[in-house]
Amino acid sequence: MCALMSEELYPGIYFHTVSDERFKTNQIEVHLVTALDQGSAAQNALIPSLLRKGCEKYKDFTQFNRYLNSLYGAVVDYDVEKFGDEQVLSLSIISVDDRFTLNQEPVTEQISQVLFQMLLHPVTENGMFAASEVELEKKALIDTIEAEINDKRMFALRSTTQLMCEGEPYGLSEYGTVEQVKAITPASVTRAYHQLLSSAQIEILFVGSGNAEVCKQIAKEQLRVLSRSKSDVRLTATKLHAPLERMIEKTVQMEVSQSKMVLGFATEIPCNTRELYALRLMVIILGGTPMSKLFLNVREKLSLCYYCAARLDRTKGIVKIDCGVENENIEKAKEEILKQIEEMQQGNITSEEMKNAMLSMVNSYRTVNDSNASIESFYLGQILCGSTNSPEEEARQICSITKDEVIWASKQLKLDICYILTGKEV
Amino acid sequence: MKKRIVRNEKLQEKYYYVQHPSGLTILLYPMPNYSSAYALFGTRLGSIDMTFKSGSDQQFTVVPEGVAHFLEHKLFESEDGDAFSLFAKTGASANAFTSFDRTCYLFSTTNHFKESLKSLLTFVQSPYFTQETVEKEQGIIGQEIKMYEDNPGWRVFFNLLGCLYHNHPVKIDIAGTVESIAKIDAKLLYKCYHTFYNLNNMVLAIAGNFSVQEAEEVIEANLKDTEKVKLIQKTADEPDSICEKECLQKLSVSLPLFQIGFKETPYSGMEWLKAQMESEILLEMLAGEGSLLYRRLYDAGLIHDDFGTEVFSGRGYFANIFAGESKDPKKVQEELLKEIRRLRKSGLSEQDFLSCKKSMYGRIVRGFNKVESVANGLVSSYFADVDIYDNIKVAEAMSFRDIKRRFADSLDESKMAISVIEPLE
Repeated sequence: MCALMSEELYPGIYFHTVSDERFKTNQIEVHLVTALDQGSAAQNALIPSLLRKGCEKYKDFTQFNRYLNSLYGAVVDYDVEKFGDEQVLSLSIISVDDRFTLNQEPVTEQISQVLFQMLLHPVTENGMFAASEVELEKKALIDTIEAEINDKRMFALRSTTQLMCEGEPYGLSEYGTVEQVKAITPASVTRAYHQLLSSAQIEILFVGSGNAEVCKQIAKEQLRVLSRSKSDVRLTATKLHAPLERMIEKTVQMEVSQSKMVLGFATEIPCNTRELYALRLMVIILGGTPMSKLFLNVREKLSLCYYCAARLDRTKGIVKIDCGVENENIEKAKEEILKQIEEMQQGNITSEEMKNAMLSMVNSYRTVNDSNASIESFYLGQILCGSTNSPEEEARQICSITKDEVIWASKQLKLDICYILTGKEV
Repeated sequence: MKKRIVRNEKLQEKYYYVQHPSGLTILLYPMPNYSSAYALFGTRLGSIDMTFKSGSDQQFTVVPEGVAHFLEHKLFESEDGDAFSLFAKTGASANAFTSFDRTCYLFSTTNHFKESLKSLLTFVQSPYFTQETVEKEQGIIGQEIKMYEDNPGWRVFFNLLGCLYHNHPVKIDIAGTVESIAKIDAKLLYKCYHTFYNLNNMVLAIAGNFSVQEAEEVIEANLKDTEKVKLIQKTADEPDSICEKECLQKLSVSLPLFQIGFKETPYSGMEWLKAQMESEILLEMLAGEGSLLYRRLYDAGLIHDDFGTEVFSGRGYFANIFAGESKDPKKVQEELLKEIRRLRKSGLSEQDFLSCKKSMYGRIVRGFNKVESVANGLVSSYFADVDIYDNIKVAEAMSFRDIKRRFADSLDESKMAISVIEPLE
């Protein structure tokens, strides 16, 4: 339905369009994709927060935001994410389509201009990001890193990844460390910014009902200044996670009222393979819906948890299961989770479970088409994984998986880590 | 069935407003070319509905905290098993939520719409509670409550409500406490169910990819007649004043979280919608990213990009809230007050008003982009006695004078409280 049209504008710079006239908005995102690396992670992570604050034409943050308000409340957003071993730095803008303006204003053109101005012509002083701005955003980034403990569920999941993938880029934080952020100077972050513009893979996505051609021409015109050549561009590559030689058991104590447990598994199943579709289905049957084995047994039957879910990171072939549980029930929950995996390995999967999981996945793939945000994130994921499959194609692949393939996939799970965050003993 | 079409010229869209003889209100909003349909079946029973009597009751029933939410969990269970299993057969994704003033059951589907709708109507109209299943749920909800106890964003909000409200049950956690839910039994759940899950007290809203005729057929065949229940609710006697000026709690967080709230006069119907939208613009002008205050706080390192404002309102409560993380929440509060005082003297800027108004218009249009936001918008509007398109009309008609008047009537310093979650140690 919503087909992705792609074009390489310049070496390593791609413009993707999903045109859909149902939407009343246009969303444009620019993603800079680069290797997640100890030396550059923090520097790079600071860049989106500096870029989003204005551009040469609107140097003053307050004036800039008032201008965005006048563009029907155009929303500028920025993000720093980890995708496999890659660091993805994003800048985006969204507003209503020209059809819905009060006086036929060319909002699509205006937001396209603003976005690329922000990316390519940020506010600088003597060719560098202003020292005061850099200091301010450094503090904010440090606070972001430190605030990771506020959300205990996410904190436990992040800590699990860090321990499980120590030594791999994926084990690093996408924000770098507090020490690395502290060491950033205006000169160093400006250098990192230029480095990104010249060598990062740049993925631009336009999703909406407006004229994408207008945006593409603006992108083309503005990005010309980068004058990139093929040899400048770094190609992305994420390595699969290999199982650890020794399983890690880690317990961390904090003042919490509920304990969190995360089990991390290696599977060594690569992306874009038939086996991965089998693994995906396996994860859904195990812990992806309210009819899953974990939900029905750990939650409904034993009343141990409110949430107990399984998730897959397809870039690394990693499966994680997490739950919130009473301290004294940790062992019981762990036992039951492992028992449910064993059940699958022994082939105890009903045809109903197979069918329900497929239907549920088909439903979520088909729903992707209904919002620009989900279309955008689906296709960005596909692009970064090197796949061009539409949501419909993904659904077809899932539906062709057999029970034997699911059993095989469940047998690939190797427990790498058991991470427990628990309350302090009194 | 009485049916009328409600249209909006700006959006070039329409929906059907159906009054079913059973008393149920049905709102059908087809969105051509979308893949999914999203349906919500909701009742006007929220966590704040704690004291009521119905029919021939002599006395008011006072229910323990968290009953509405508990009932929501338990309604998924029927004599033949779990409602989720009905939806699993079609691939629909089903869920439910309880808020302060409503409970809603929902599904989203791209296939087998009729079966899913039938399942939704059936399970919500088939209560089945036993002592055993109630006890089992106490363990699960107990863990949900504990999860929220560790959630600083949730705690800072309820601590603020505790400061602003003396008696209004909005101050009580939606899920209740481990102790309060221990008092719930099957009999009490039936009592609440039969009082509030009456079709006259409920709404069904569907948006997205479905046929109106098919929906009507399924509805017609699957509504169980209920007798209209005479429901009397005791509203809390809530003074204008606030209860406490501040609340501090320590949790394992890295940086203090804060919420500063101003208690305002609650409204209903169109008056509420106007007050809500005017307040939203007022807070945007005062503390949005384009405001001088935001800039000053940000540049002083007192707030981050998560700083924001919210107009929190419903049946019998209304508050303007400023929230974020800060190394010095008290300083933020001081600066906020300074700015309010300054603007009271020098006046608001009309230019700012115009650009915030345009921004609000854009936000409203964006809200009609997704099936779930349309379905939720239909339900919210219905429970608030307004129409889903009324916000477009209110935005268009809003004048600078309205905002000046709203400013004069709100953000009273004597009705301000601050809630802070501080790091341990």
